Amino acid sequence: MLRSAVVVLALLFAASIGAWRIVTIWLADRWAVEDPVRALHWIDRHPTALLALAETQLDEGKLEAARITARKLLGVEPLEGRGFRVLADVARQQGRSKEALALYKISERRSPRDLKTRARLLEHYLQAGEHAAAIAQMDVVIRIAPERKAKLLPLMAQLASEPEFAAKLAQALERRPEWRSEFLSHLLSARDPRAADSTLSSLRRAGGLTDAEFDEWIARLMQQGRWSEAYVRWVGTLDLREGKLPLVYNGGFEKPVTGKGFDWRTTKVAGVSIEFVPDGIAPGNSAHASFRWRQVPKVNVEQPLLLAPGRYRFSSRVRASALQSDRGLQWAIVCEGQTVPLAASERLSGTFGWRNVPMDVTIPATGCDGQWLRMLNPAPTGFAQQVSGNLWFDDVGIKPSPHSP
Amino acid sequence: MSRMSLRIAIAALVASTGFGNVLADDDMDATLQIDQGSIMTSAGGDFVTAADRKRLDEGQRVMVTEGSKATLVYDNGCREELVDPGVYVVDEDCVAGILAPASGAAVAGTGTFFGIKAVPFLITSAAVVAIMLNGDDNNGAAAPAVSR
Repeated sequence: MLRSAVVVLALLFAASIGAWRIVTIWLADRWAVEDPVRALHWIDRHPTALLALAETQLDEGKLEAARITARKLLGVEPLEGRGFRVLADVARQQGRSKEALALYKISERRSPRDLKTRARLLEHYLQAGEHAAAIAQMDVVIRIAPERKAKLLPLMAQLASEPEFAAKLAQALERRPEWRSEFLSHLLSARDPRAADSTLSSLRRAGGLTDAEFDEWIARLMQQGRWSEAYVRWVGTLDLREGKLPLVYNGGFEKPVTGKGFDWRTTKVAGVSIEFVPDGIAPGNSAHASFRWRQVPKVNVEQPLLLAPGRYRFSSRVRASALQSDRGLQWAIVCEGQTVPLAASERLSGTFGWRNVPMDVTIPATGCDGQWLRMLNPAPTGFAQQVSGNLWFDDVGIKPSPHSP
Repeated sequence: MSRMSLRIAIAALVASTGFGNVLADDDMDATLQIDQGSIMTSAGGDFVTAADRKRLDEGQRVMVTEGSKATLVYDNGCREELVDPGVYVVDEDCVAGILAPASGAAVAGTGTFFGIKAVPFLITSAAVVAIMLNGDDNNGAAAPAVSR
């Protein structure tokens, strides 16, 4: 009986110990982050509490205490990278930058998801001009903390104003990170155009810019009013074998119409279709517009121009077959962003063979950085705009007016 | 004395010697120096590939494509550098330094010095750190293992 009592007492004692252990662990876990001192009262080697205490001491400027706590943490959890991060913060604040950098790198290896470590490393790389390393850090952060992407990408776009950073960024973009298209969108929207210019130029030189991305860049430049820059970048894509670039590109429609840059563009206009085909009468291709008796405000082909201020003579060969509309169709040149044409040609209707249609235009000195060449229907909106029949045009060109000063 | 007044005074003095016309016209002309790549010029019409040392008049346009660079050397020795891709207009006044391309086809007027380099890294790096440190309390990392 005595023996049984001893066994029971021993079991009760072991159970009490177990229960106490459970309670202390629970209490320590409960207070580890909110009140680490209290948690450590229950378990003085609680890693989470030690880390929280070290960070609190750091925030309070108690550097030596933070260092001691961090070392205690690493004694309990040698693989806890954040302990090294606290030591690094202490070293950094005490001016021991090389030691701090080495400790941050240890923290990075052992706690790769620690954003505070990555933030300090990123800060170092940016200030040291180690752009590739900085970009690599941002790439990791975007992957491990996607919620940071919305703010990090615009900042990255700002950093790209620095040409050397942009060059390294272009190299990173060539590897097609998952944030590439979102970043390019931020880049094109950045207030400082140098960021986009530097990065996209570097990317293009390396062959890493897709045609669609390049076209988007050209379109944004034009939207920003930077027509001359859009123009020269587009010119860079052309094969100018004769070393000559006319004011109207592809005026004879002998090259495929690309719809890009300062080439002809086709637009969707209900009631008219356009094709570029051999005429059968004149040599080479011509543009053929076919109208189906619907309201057509303009023919669905146009070209942006970059004419300098001055006087010009426009010309185009045109023929028509049963072209019917209330007021005819007419060539027009319009300043970008405006609706009233600078000049308009004679009105075309009826049936006639190939003939020349001239038009004089004066580009003003200001307020007309770029222009559009279009064929418009001057009739007011409504039934009066209905058009039927066929129209062909070819040999579209612009030259300085012979009467220019 | 303003720059314009000085020019007028000099021109008047020189004109009195009978050599005024020669010097007044030369001031406005420039020579194209192709530093890199290919350059095209236009006298109002088509753009044509330009030869090195081509003489340019006021109002002519110079197209600098990507990867190309050129310098306008005025007769008075002033030099304007064309380094950014764009279309530039030869102006009567030379402003030494790096010229900014015309926004469209309009005359650029006096050149804009574009040599200021943005070095906001110290400020921007702090902004980047702030972006990364602001957020959830867990700092995006898993809790450490507990040794008991």
